[in-house]
Amino acid sequence: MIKLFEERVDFIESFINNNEITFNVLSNKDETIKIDWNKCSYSKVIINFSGNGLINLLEIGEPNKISVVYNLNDYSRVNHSIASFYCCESKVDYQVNLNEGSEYRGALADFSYGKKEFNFVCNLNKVYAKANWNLASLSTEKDHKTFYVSFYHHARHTYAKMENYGVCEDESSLNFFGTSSIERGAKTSGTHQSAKIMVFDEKCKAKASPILCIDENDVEASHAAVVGQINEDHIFYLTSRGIPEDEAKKLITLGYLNPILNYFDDEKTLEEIKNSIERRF
Amino acid sequence: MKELIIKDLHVSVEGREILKGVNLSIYPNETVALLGPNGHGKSTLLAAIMGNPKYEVTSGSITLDGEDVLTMSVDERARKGIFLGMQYPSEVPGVINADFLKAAVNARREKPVKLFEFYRAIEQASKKMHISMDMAQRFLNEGFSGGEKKRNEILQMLLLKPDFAMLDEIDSGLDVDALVYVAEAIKDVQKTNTSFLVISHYEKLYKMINPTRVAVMINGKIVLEGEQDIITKIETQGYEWMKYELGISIEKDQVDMNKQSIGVCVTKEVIGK
Repeated sequence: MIKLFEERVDFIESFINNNEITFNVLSNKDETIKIDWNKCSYSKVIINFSGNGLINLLEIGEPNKISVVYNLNDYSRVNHSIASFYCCESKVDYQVNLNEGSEYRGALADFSYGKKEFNFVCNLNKVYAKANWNLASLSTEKDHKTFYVSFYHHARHTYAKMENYGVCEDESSLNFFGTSSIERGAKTSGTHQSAKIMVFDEKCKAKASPILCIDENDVEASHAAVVGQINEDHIFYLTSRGIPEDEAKKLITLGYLNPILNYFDDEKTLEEIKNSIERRF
Repeated sequence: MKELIIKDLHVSVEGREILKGVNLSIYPNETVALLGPNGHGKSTLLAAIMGNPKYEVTSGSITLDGEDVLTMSVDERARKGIFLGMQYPSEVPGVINADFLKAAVNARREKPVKLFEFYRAIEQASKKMHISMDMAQRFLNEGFSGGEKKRNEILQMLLLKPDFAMLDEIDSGLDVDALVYVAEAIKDVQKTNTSFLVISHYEKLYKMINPTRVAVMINGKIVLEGEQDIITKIETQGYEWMKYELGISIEKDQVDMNKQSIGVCVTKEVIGK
């Protein structure tokens, strides 16, 4: 009945309401679950996570025109990995809601082709909620990709960090919009964001826009954004060892994007991402 | 065994001429010590030989066994056997040391190096340089201490086996033990007929590697060539003696006055108007 998950697992129950499906995931031990978006026919998917176990949630396939909501109940933990490497048009909205002491780690490896709009909003609703976000995106040919990543701190002692990395080539465009917002009352919270895009060609367009909205005094916040060409000193160093310039650029670019692989444990997915990167070069 | 001949080399950086007619030849099996005051063009010469695009060769020639080096790309020069151990090696985030080394080794080979052969080569070189094998899995030079970076440069030289190696202040930032490891590695490579051009400000390294010839660069030119006794004289007396004994005046860096500074100069300028 539930085609969304690759395997049926006994710690998940589901409820269907028209075009919306809700899953309750309750586990007190570490579990891995996979979602294949190619098998999804719903326009809204809600997953509620409870329990002390660490849930490794791996998403493959390209969700399009889907709204996804993840609710992490008190002290639940989710490592969320999204692998995107198909050719398609995609628009997806994610909302992650964190309750007391819950921990969310998200990673998106985007090596897909085409037009993509990705909206990610994380609400840190209760004390000691913690979120970490990592994105690596490769944009080539005539790709047009825009990523909106936002963290809203609604409670005290919350922490969020986002790192968005991108490579932009040919005639493609790549945009990162990062928002970190600390509301009044969310004292001793910390929020940090950085965005880096490496551009290779004159016709490609890249934009990194970091926004901090801070309405409280006793907080830590930082932002950084860099859009620039590959470092000439790095190219010189590598070529001075006999590595041809094209190969040197490839090594540096891979080095820029490859750290995202650290967030993927699934061997098959890792292999697919690596093959996808190889194809893109 | 290769012969590098530099004739009347002029090099500019951002429009400012640094090398003003360098003539220097390095013959097979030679180790040439290159000395000179700071800012007189030693590092510029090495960077120009390697082909750093920031350094513009405005005239003159560099040949390696008769082949025009200046028309070669940087990677071609390296594959021809030229190596530069840098004074400030770049930190390249994301690029894993082992991947970089493997790409560099393979760049000189027709068939890619076998994994086991490559592992053994890194293991031996790391042992010689007293570098942990863990370093191979770290990002290239990122987070390395000054001494680790320099040892990593020599490790690369051991792996790449160049015909002509240039070392730019490879001894700076090294502790006493590390200096010995570096000197021993250079001595080992000297036995393989590699020629060296070595920049250092200190006699200690030169005593260990025993250069066959000494060249002194002042004001963008090689003004003196000779034996090792020149090194000892510079170590004890500096460069001022050249002014009296050889009639060479050493140009000092001109520091431009800050036009916005408040002081006598500004007052004079205003009064002058």
